[in-house]
Amino acid sequence: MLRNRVKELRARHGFSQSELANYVGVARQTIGFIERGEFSPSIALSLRLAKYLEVRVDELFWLEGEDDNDKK
Amino acid sequence: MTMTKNDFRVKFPLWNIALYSILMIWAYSVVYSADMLFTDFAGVFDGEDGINLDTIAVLSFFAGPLLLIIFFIAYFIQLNRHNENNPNNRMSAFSLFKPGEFIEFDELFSQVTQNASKKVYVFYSQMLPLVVLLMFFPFNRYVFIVAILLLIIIQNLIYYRHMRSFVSH
Repeated sequence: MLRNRVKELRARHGFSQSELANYVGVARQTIGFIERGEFSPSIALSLRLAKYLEVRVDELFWLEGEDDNDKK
Repeated sequence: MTMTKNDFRVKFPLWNIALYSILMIWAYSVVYSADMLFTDFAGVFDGEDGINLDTIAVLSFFAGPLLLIIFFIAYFIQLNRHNENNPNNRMSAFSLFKPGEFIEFDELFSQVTQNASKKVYVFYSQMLPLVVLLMFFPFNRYVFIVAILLLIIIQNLIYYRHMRSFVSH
């Protein structure tokens, strides 16, 4: 399962789900599903999210089972 | 952008259900009229009052077109309203190759649309053999028309329920 820090970084930047969705060109629901780990975004969307949240993609997404503490 | 459960594209299957329900009503009189034509109006002029017509068929004959007109007026009003509010996601009135209920403006909804279509595929693969079985019996043609229209209505219900569960989040 793909884990992520989208919710945490979005809050840190002060974006609402709708604002982030508008920046990266998706629906608000899509951001919600990504944050809950119920939808794995494409590489292109992951890159756009990483760009707006100002982190590398591998800092934003990682596979469950990898060392979660390294990402914090 | 936020997709809401009141979005015209989400509600599109409900419009399909309304259309096919009206066609089901109208089909009764169409089948009856065809039966009269192909049997040279046998039994129609044998009644004591001169003309012997099925009352339900007569009602269906007039109610069907009337309901269709009301339906299409409401449909075009909603379609225009949707296109005015969503200039980047305009829908055409009659799209044969891309049904209006397909929502593919981002990758989540493309996947949801694919999953909903998969459910509909499974439904048809299970139900069509049963319709073939039904056709072995000597029912009136209207029964088969109703069976097929019911499949289309249930298909739209399955699709609508699946899409709605995602936009409700």
